[in-house]
Formats: sequence, C-alpha cells, structure tokens
Amino acid sequence: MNEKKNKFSLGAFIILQIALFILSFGAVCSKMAGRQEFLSVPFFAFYGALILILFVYAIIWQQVLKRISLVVAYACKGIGIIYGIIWGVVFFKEEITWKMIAGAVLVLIGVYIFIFGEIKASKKEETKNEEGSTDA
Amino acid sequence: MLKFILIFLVSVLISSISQIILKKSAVKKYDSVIKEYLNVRVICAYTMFFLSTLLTMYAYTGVPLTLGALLESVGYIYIPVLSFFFIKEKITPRMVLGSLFIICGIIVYNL
Repeated sequence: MNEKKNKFSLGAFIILQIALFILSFGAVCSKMAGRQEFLSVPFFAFYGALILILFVYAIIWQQVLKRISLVVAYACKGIGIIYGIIWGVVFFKEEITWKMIAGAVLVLIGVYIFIFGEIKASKKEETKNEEGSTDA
Repeated sequence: MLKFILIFLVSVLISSISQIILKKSAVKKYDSVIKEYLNVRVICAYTMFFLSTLLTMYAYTGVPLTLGALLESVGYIYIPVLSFFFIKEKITPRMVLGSLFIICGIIVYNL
C-alpha cells in the first residue's frame, strides 16, 4: 500500500498533463465570466463552462492523487503558467514584457526544484521499502 | 490592482486547503465508489473549491490572465506548509528554495 503511494506512475502523469491542458481553458472562462454582467446569460455560459472543466478535472485529479504524491501532482501544475501566458496573449491581447518572462522563468525554476526534489525523495523511499522487504 | 492580487492569493489558499482535504480523503478506503466521492470530506473540499472559483473570477476582473497564472503558483508554497501540519509530510530544503524562486518570480513579474 505504502509502496503504491510512493510509486511514480507514468500513465497517471500523462493523464494529468492532458487534464492540465483542459484546465488552462478554465482560467480563460473565469476571466471571460468576470467581464460579463453578473447573472446574465453570457455570465452563466462562461461560468458554466468553467464549472464543467473543473468537474472533469476534479474527477481526474482525485484518481491521479491515488497514484502520485500531492506535491508532485501540484508541481505539475507549473505548466499552467505557460498556458496562462499563451492564452493571455491569444484571447486577451495582454502585453508581454521581459520582466514578465523573467518572472515566469523564476517561478518555473521554483516549481521544478519542487518536482525534482520530490521525485528524488520518492525514489529514495522506494529503495528503502525494497531494502526493508528484502531484510524481512 | 493590489486588492485583486490579495483576493487571488486568498482564493488560492482556500483551494490549497481543499486539496489537503481531498488528499486525506483519497488515501482513505471506502466501501464503494459512490462513498469515495460522496462523503463529508469530499463535499466540504469541493464546496471550498467552488468558493475559490468565485473569488478567482472576481480577482480576474482586476488581474491579467498572465499574472493570474503566476499567482496560482503560491499554491506550491501553501501546499507543503499545509501538508506539513495536516498530513505530516516533510518540508525539505528544496521546497524552501523552490518557494524562494516562486516568490522572487512573482516580485520580478510585478516590478
């Protein structure tokens, strides 16, 4: 049970990436909903789309959490930063400056320090478990 | 804009707390798949998650999408801290270093 919890599942990792791509459109819907008149038809359309995306994502997320550590799964969300910048430019014509790119790069470095640290810790734990089971 | 940034940060905190509750629920064994999704912890977590979507939507009225994506990354700081207190996961020096990069990144973005 403990071994299963610490194992890094590639299948779950790929599914999570697909889910994160879908989720990135949730932020677009959220921003679009905020621009509409509160409780108007377009508001419900965008907010409804957001809830639908979150619903699909939540189902996948809960299953993924069984196979990947929460810290690793959460760190994978780092890709959302790149999607956020792309969709900000594509859908909302937001301006990109070098300071913004430098900031995003720093955040991504931080995120991947998290993920690699967690994978290393996870591998160490697996080795420990294997040694433990051999001793027994 | 600062007001909207703060609302965004509170929203991410609420969302992070809901993730911790979900994690606690995910590792617990249930008799059926329905109980796995329909139990107090999961319902409570999704209610908080729903609240955070409303807050985020409001925050987005004053925050650009590009900045929003970065602000969401404070979850990486909230999650290990909350995990340390509620699910007894360790905080490693790497996590501290990662957090520093994230904070620096958000500051540089807003300079």
